[in-house]
Amino acid sequence: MTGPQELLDVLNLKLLFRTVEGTLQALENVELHIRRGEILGLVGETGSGKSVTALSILKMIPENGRIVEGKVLLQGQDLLAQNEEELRKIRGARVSIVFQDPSSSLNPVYTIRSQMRDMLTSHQVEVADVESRVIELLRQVGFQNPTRILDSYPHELSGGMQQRIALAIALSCSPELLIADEPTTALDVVTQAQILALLKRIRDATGASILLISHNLGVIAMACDRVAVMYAGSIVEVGPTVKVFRNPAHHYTRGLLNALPRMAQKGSELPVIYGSIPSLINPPSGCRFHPRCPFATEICSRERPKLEPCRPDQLVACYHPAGESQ
Amino acid sequence: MCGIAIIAFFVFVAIFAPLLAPFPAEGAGLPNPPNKFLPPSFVHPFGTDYLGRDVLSRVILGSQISLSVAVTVIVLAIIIGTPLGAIAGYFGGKVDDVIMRVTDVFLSFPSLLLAIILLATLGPGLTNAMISLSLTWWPWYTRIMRAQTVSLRERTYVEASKVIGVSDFWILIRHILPNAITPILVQGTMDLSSAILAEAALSFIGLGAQAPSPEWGLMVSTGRIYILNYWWFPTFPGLAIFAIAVAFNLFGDGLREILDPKTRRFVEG
Amino acid sequence: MTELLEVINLTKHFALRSGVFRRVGTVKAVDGVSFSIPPKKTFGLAGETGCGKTTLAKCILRIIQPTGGEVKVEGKNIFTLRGKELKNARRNVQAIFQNPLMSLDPRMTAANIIAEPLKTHHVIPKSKMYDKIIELMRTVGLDEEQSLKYPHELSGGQNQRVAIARALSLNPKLILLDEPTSSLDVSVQAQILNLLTEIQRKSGLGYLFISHDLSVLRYFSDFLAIMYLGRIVELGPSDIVFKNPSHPYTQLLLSAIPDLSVSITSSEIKVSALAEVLESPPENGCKFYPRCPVRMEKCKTTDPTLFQVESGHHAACLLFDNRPSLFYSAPKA
Repeated sequence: MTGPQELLDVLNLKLLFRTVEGTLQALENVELHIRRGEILGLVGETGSGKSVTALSILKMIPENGRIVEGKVLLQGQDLLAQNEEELRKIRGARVSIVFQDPSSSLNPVYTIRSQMRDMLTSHQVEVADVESRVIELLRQVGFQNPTRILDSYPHELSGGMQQRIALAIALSCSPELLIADEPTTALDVVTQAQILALLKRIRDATGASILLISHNLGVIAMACDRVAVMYAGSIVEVGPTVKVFRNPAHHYTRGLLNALPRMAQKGSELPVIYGSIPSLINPPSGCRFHPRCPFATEICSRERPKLEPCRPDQLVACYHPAGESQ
Repeated sequence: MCGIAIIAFFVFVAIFAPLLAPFPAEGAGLPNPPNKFLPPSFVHPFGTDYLGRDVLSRVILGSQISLSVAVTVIVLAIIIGTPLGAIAGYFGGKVDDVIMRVTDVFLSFPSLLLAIILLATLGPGLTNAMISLSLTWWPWYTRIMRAQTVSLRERTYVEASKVIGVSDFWILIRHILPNAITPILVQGTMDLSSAILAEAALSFIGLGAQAPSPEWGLMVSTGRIYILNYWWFPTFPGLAIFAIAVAFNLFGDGLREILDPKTRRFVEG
Repeated sequence: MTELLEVINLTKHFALRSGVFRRVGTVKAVDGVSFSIPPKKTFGLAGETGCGKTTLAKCILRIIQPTGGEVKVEGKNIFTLRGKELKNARRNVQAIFQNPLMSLDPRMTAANIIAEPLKTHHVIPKSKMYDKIIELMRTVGLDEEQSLKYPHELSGGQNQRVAIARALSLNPKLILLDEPTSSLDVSVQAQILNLLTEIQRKSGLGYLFISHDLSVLRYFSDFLAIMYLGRIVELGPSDIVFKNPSHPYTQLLLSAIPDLSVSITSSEIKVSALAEVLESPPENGCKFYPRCPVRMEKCKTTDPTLFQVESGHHAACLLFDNRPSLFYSAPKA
């Protein structure tokens, strides 16, 4: 339940998509808790459902999708139960989102100044204050010379700069939660590190929570306090980033970390997770990872495991979580 | 979907025309003076014309002409225009300039006017009408194909083929053409409808099919003056033109929707 | 021993034009790059967007013409070849691209895609073609029944395997891989890297592996070159370059990649210090000057060449200008 620490609770979220080939069970019983002022990472591969979870929080799912179960509680208020008008007030003002491709969130025919003003005025900020607020926001995202940027058009700026502006726009109404969906995937390594450092500074300065979604474990490691690992539509493990990455409890997380070439010796074989990501139209019964798991037993194929505490700070959805060793 | 049904009907009729027409000889042109100007009846559902010929038979036989002319014109235009567009788009530079300037010249004429001028030089007749129409139509396909080729030649799989050592000729045939053909096909089916109308127009003004051919445009033209008293024999051919033009239009629309990948379902995590 | 691939002073300039005729400047996408690859080894090329690695790849593959320099494959300069000789030479250097779905013709089945090189070079008689295709598919871990599938019916990993099978069909001596795993999931990346390692072990071919992902390069390559704005700024055996990164840009890149057991640390300070680069590089000086944390006065006026840091390891930085310099390098195995 929502304690004083929790800002956002996603409870029991179940999402289906209607497709030509059948019903796609995109999200199954997703449970997520974002604390105040924390940066929570959401990591997963293709088909894990991480992006769709973010969209569900803002009830921005595509036409053929349906949330059949679940609640999204923003400080106790269920966002899924709100009507469009209410949601419009919340989006951008209390919960904001930044996407992977900055050039598609910025309109190419308007200057930066006009786009930022639009954002502020649509959420009823006093017109007199707009210009100074805009400059303040641009400084907040690291621009040392905001006036130069204001008169530019998006295509005149680099990818990193565009993403920073997208962040500035997302922060303009001081949201309590910022969702960043693969914000650095399209950027170079160095720019990526800068943006991640920026996200941390923003959190420190404003106290906002950040939900950082990525398929890149390195990004999560660099920026997140805690991490939630998703596989085939459910959360399989949650915990402090350092602990989860050093000592993963779920076998999928373990497999993922082992498959990274970080410390492996040249010429040696990288350990690979057997099998492949399952179809979500006909997902495996019980634990969706069981066909690929070397530790699966009979109960794993029968009943889906729930997220339970295993180590002091960690939650895992597994009947046979990995031991403390290694 | 509707379009396909109507077209299928027409195609069927056209193929089996001589068998279906109740009075095939009259359909082809044999006059039957005693039967002049009979209104629609059970024996002659569409009535008879000024020479006593059964209008229904004439319309049925005319379908053969309209369809075959339309298809020939468009196919010829595509055969001429597509390779030119592919060459212009793929090689660029001077070749592109030359081809596109020629294309522009053709396109700067109002098409029907150009067709008339060409026909005037060649002399009236159905075959010449087909040739002139093809010659006015090909530039459109060159334009479409060139645009497609320009965007496709940058694709990674085209680069991959170059790395393999595939010659330009084969790249055009194997990779560019099949991937560029969709807009051409869609345009082609929509143009079929315009081609029918264009050909009917040319025949209407006397430059296309000549008497006693049961061509629909010609029938409307010769029947014009009788519209008030003997309405049936310009009207039915006119309706036939209308119906088949609409049918091809619907078909083209439907084809575009099926072939456009954006109208397909999808979702990914 | 002849090097498998030698790139000698390769240059590619693009003209910037304003309007149709006025030439307002040049983009030096590749600006005098030299390196060589011994047979059977993996040469890694790292750099961010705009460093010129893609243009370099296209020059080596002869998809575009360079402005200057040579590329020799087994001793023969490929830019002097024409017609049939060129076509034959292509059999030696094949490529695998970043996005597998885009590197395969969407209207061709996997079998036809793999068959294309074989057909183009008339390598195999028609009767034996099918068997050869299946054999290649097995080598890359695909089943026979996938031969009739189209790219959109296969996963990213499977598509990349098709691309690898296609590249192997001509028995090349060198495969150029341009970010081959960047668009794949982590678990699939591991499978593909394993496959590539096994293929190299069995057939002894060489790889030129281009990537922005340094951790993959550390694992996979024997030699490493770091590119910045069209030049190679550091070069050497990859474990030595990682242990002793000498060029400030290499150090910057390494500080930006995470060590998965800790959160971002001192690297944060270094990186954010270079947040906004407003100056353009000096005309005659080092290109990295505007971003360099250890720049000196002389860096504004002298353009460094590759200097030797230690045997086989070179960096283009004036910090080492008292050492011998290299005009073009052949990394010692």
